[in-house]
Amino acid sequence: MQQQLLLKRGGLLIGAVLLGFSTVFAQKITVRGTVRDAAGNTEMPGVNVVVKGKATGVITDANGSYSIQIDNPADTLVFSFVGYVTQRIGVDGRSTIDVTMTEEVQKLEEVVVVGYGTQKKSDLTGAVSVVRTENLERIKSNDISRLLQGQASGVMVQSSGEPGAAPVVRIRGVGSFTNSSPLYVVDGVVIAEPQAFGGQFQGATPSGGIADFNPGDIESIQVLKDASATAIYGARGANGVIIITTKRGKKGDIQVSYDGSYGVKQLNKYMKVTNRKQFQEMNNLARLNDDLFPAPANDSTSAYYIDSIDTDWQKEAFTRGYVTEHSLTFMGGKDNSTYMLNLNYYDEKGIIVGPGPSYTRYSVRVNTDHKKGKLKIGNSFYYAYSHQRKLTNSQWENTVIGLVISIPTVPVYDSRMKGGYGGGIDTIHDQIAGNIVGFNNLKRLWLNRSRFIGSVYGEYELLPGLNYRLNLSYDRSEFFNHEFIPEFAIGSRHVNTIAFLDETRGENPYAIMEHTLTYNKEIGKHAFTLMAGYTAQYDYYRDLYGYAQGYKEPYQEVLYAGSSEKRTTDGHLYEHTMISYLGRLNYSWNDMLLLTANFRRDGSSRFGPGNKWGNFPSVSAGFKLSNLEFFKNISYLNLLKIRAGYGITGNDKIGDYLYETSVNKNAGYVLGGQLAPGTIQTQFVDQSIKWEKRISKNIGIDVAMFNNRLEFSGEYYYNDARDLLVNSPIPMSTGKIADPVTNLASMTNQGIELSLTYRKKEGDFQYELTGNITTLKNKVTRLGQNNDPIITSFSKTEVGHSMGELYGWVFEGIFQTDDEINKYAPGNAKYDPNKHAFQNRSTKPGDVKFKDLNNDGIIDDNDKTYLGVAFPKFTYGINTTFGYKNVELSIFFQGSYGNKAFNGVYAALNSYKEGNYSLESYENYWRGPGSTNKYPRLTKTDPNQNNRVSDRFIQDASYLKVQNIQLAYNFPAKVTRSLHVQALRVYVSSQNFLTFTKYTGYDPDFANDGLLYRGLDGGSFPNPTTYLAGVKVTF
Amino acid sequence: MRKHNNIVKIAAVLSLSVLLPGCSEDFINLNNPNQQTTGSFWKTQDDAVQATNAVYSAMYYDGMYMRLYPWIMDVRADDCRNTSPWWITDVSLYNVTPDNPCYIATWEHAYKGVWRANQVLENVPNINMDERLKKRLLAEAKFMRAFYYYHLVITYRNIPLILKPAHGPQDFYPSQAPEEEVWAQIIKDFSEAMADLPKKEEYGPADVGRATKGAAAGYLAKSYMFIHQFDKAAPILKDIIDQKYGSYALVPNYRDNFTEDNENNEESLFEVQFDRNVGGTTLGWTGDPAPDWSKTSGKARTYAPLGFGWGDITPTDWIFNEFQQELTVNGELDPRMKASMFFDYPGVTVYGKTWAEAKLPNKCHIRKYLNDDHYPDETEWRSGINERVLRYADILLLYAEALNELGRTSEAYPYIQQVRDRAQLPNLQDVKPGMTQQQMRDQIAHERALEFCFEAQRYVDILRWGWYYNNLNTLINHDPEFAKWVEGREVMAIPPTEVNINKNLKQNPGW
Repeated sequence: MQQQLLLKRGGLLIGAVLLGFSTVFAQKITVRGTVRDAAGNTEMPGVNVVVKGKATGVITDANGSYSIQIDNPADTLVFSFVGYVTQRIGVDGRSTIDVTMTEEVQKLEEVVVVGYGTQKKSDLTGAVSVVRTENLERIKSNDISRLLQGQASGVMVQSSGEPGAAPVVRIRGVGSFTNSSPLYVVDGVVIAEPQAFGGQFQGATPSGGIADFNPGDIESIQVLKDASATAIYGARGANGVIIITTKRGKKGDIQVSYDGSYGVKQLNKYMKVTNRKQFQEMNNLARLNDDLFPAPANDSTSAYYIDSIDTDWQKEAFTRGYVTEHSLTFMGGKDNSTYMLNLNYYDEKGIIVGPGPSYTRYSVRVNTDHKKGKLKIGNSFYYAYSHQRKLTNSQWENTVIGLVISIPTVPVYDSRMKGGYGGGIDTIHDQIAGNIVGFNNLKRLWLNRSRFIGSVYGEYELLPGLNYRLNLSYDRSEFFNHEFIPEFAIGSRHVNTIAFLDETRGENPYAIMEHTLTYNKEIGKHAFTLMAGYTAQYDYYRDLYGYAQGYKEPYQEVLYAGSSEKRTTDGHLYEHTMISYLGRLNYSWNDMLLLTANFRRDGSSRFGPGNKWGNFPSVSAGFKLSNLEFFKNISYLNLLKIRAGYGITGNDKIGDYLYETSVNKNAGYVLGGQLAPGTIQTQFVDQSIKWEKRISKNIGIDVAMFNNRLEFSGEYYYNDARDLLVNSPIPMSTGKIADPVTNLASMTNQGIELSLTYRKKEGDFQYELTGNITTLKNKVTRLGQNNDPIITSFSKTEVGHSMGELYGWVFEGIFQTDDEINKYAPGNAKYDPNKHAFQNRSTKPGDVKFKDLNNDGIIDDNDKTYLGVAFPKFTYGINTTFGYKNVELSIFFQGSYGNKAFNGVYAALNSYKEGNYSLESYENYWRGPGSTNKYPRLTKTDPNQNNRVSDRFIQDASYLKVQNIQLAYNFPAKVTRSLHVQALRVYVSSQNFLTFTKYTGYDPDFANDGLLYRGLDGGSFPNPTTYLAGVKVTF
Repeated sequence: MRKHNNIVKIAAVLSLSVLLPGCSEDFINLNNPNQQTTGSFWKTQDDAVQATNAVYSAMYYDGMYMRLYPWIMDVRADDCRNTSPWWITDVSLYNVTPDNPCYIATWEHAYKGVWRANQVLENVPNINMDERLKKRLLAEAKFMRAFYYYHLVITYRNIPLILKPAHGPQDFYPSQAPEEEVWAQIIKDFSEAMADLPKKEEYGPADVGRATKGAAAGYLAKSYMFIHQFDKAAPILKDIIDQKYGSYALVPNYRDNFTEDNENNEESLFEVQFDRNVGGTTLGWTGDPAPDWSKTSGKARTYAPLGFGWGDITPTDWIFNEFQQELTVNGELDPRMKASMFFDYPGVTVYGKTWAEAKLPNKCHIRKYLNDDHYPDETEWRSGINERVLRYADILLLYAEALNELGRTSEAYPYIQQVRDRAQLPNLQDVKPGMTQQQMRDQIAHERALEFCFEAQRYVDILRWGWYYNNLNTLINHDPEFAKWVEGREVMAIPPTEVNINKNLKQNPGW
């Protein structure tokens, strides 16, 4: 084989020499040859071959051969192909030139942005995920954090399908009971996390403040995960840092591009519920079993009997939504000045009937950079205005649950009712749930937010290698929220006779000044970068609230139009300041040994005297084994690096003034018919609260092989979060309003993160595969003064267990006979069949048999146990892209494995207590001894509490989603040239395309509080499926 | 020269950062601009008055008189049955439901009142102020502390007795005190309050609603009655009747006790002051008081018949019939029946509608404490009707009861008759002369049922008479819900969350 090759090469060489010799005197010289790919040694068709400085050019044929005529034997040929290193080869009189093209050495020398500076990716010693932004671009969402789902190891994202909803983002688990959202840094500037906007808008809090940003502006995203990377952000680095760099101008003529898309959204999964007849049959039986008379609406002998209405509430309520986006970008610049201007419009409407939920945003970004001598200045200005309509809730229950349990005997629309929507009367229909469609149409809840973020920087080279940089940033959020509740009467339980309006406006500016000095120096094999900085920050939240009532139709929804009586106003101010000193040393020896040390000292107004300051050091080291002589011989190995880091970071996102005890002056009492002011202390406070700390350890390995076509990273991390602020529960007998916040909790998070990328081009065919997988094990190690577990109705958080573990009773089957109930007291002396039956005096055959875990003959709180961990064992994402010529297909899989969830929708439909029933329960409910051992009897009052929290309603919420599938076509140069555009791309895609899961709720990817209720799907608005088409054109 | 230039620049930058505000520690010292800190409070006379006012305002919480306390009392009594689909159902059926807010609220909110009273009692003595006023404020705080404990011990029986505000974790986890010890403290506080409080006439008009000598005396007597110390109760009750603690009388029109029109009248010894026109409109069920909280009760909406309110609670047939046992001297229905209930009688109006128009689901509905004479319905949560928690009629009937228990049965007649006279019922001496002690007990129970129906009194009576243990069948006959009673569950469960957090607490037996 080897010999054959040699012979072949020798023959070619001889031939080339002869040919060259014979053509030397010709006027036109023809040069021929074959272009091959270095890696596969395969012929490469389509390679551009041009004569340098001339218009002459050819393309290699299907066999990789070319033939080009040149004028001068001294000419140079330029071989180029997208993704390969361009080669310039002097002809030197030769007539045959074979060329081997090597793929462009990608990514290895990629520079990534780390806090207060940049670093070569290969030199990183901390845990940093570089997100491939081209994968993000294929997904539509208003929220960057939503796009990160499945795209980087160590990053977990959960979200509901409500437009504008704030996803829960967690980096390497939950590191705090107060706020575990990561810090977002955009263009080097820490951005604000605007305060929760009270009342109905609590849920509208943008995740880490990034919701307002236009994802299309992103140039790159880096996720800093371990303390050695985040410690430079000190007190705010504990939950990880997401660094976003926006697109900036490039030298050259003005380039205009337009990006537009339109998509429809719809729900592809419906809960199967009973129809009118089935519902009436079940409801009658349930009431009969409890000695209750049938509800008149369900009683065929009653004058109120309903047989003409059969509402399918899900069908009535869910409709088609849409999402559309238009974006126009201008960029360009001269040698010393570049600019970028983007205009963006984003509009999304949810999948439920009514004006909301919806989210509309207009944004504009201007970035410019200028250079003059040693001075660089630049800016980023961003302004966004968004209008969000909230999904309105009923007075009683979660919207989604309220919707699925709405009964078929109530009409959606009823012109006789005030407001025009139907509603049940509990004594007639046996219904409390409101009309979700009615509420969503009648109540007006919207939020306008303006966000301005401006940052300017100036950089000056003071001495060779010594740079001073000043960053000034001002991030201002203004919000205006509006809640108007008109008069309505929806059934007997949802009546509003006083129309009212409340409006809140507020502002949340956030100003930061940062000075940094950076010094770069190389002495022989030693390279140093030293950075020192000083920053100061001031931010505040101020709001103003107004209320008026007594509005009459036609409604004028402004405060002025309300009655002059009963007007109220309110307002608050919360201020926060912070000072920080920071420093970093990067050292490398011989491009082999790497060392990074960070230090930050933060002082914050959020803590009391003596606890204001915190120190956050970190150190990490890396070793590039691939630069050792031994490894240098392995030709396919591009990088082999091992690294380890250790550091301490903090969290001060705890709310202001928590260390101060104050008196409440609103505790007035009516005396003599007037309000007598009352003032008293109403809250307990721990005045000694201090910083939350996260001690993180990380080891990792980075490998790049085969010309960096294969990249692999693996890490193990162990985070120990200490002094966590927790509401340490104290008895109500103290008179407390809330539990005081104290630094009395700790927990650990540990796991493994792997990510792999493989890319390959073979002729017209190219593909890329990137995947990541993250494991997480969370364990609470301390909890409050006495390690008292935190017990919620669904979960228990206890030392030795993970946060928010599902907790309840164990379902053991169904009691089939009275004998079984009476006998069911395994060898227990306490048991007295005449007094306390096993579970409850009223327990009957058909009721649920809960397991008597402590074997005392009584089913009570002591028989509750852990029913499942709400954290996934692992989460993963796989991006695959296939390209053939101009066609590109990409599929993004994303999933979660091993997490359990309390299925609130399932529980509501299978507990028979209120509203409609699932078809499943209709078909299976207990109909007598032996009929089923899974579904209980029908009962309305449920004396045995069959529907208490038990593993009956807990399900495996593992899932695998085809989150995105996109087919794109890039028009070939021939077409684009004729259209006078530079590039044209069209695509069709589908988001949330397919879900594989055993979970029977709407969506296993549901929104939750990310804390103690993390395993509770209490009716999260389902993520719809989106079908989208778009175009991108560059002029 | 060039080098020198650079050094100047570096120095300028460094000095710039040094001069910036951050370097001063002051920059990170911020105080809460929204609320006064405790450090600057408890200094002035005004602080003392305002703190004392705040002690009363804990009565506005749900678990006290905003809604739940009267409701959980009434729903368990034999004059009411539950018609609510809400958690309260479990209360009426004695079900164990750990998350049930009805078991939690009174505990939570009465203890808020206790803490506030304890704060006043700890801090006001140190304030330099008018000594007479100081004495009164401390007496008010003692009255209110005893008032909250009275509600707690009746509702939960086995409770911690906390007499100082908690100052740290060492104070957070009290044990339960024996019931007698709690009553002893209640009696001590009411006694001391009685000694130091002004009579109602001694207060100015701006102070109407504060605890008075009469209120303290009345509650002191009520406390003795609860623990069957009739010999101690009787003289105090007699003194009240003899007008020693202020002038009290029955109002001629019984219904004047339950509307907004005749509040703080001569029959009232203590009432919770509600007002629709004061404060904001947000309902302060629980939590940290806000400026927009209304000072109103949710009782009217809760008790009003379905169609006009929630209809969450409905009279039992027994009380409906009990009212008809006796007609007035003019041969008419007891006027208290019409004042207390809606039912189908000639000329009845339900919120201005006829019986037929009102289409009420049951044969009778509660009317007491409803706004039907002023509003078309109770679809608004906020009712401004003061809750008369201690009426002179109670004093009269308690005195009669005390006399009977002390073996002076015949002396009881005239005091009962005062109450009957207002209802125009015939003279008891004529109708039922020479009753035995037991007959008189039954008579008083009957009289109290009619006089105080739906006023959260009946249940307390049932409890103190021991009927759960000595007269259960009667109760079951009156109200089948009593059939679900489990021994021990005549008092509420200690909130399970509280038992979980405070390891020194024991759950009440039976729960």
